[in-house]
Amino acid sequence: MKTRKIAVNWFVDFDKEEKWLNDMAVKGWDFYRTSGVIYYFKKCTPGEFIYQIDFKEKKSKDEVADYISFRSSCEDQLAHQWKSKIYWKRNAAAGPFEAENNIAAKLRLTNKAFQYHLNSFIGLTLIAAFAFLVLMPLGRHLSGCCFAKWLTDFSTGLTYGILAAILLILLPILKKLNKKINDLISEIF
Amino acid sequence: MKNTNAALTEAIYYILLALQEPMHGYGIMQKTSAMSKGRLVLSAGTLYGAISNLLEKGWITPCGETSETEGRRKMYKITDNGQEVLMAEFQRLEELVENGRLNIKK
Repeated sequence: MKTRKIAVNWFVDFDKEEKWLNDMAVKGWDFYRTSGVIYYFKKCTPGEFIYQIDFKEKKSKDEVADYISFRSSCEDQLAHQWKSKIYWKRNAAAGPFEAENNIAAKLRLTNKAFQYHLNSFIGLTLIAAFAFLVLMPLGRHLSGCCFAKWLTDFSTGLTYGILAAILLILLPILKKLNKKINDLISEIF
Repeated sequence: MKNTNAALTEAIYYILLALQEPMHGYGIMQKTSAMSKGRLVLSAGTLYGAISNLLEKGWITPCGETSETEGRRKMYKITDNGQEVLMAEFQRLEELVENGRLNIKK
């Protein structure tokens, strides 16, 4: 009988990713590792675990370690960490991570997700700006050199690639998360 | 940090109530759920943020750890300052209930 499974998937929306991991658990697959695209599972009793995706917001390693230690002492199990994402799991029998009516908790998690994507947005924008304002002019300045054409093509491709990623992927998710935050705030007041 | 006159959130009120005796995070989660008859379920993530805020405000303070057999969990207790805030909130809630009792037409 197959006890391990590898699945390829890619998510920008953490809600969808979390739902997918929970759906896999319902089918009897316990998530334990990812590289962002490849997901690793091992066999478990169907519906044994539930998952929650969280985001690191503490800056120092000690603060992150303290956060993980605290949650681990409260029956949440650290399933995996990948970049700024923390994947938590717990026995489904212990109940949900949050009560469905806990708006403040949903707001906290959505805000962390917004910050995570905003950081990606800022990072990519800076890379695109560097490619456009430094690498591209440098390529033109070095015209005649065999390296110049490659540098110009590379910086042009990088700039447009990043702009496309921002416009097609990051901005819609930021917009969606911003709307969700506003909806949650309006539920509180 | 100075006390705020703003109303406490339900979660903060229950955490301060739970800490009338020294307790670790998981104990706070369980006690809060029991006191609210399962209506208020605090997740560990939410509780961590709330505890960090309360520590920063000086309303609660760490008071050691549980034994190794209990998993070395950090314990917290309410401070005098926190107790004052809790009492002020209790009186505010009593006033709300009393005014409701006097004014709501049944």
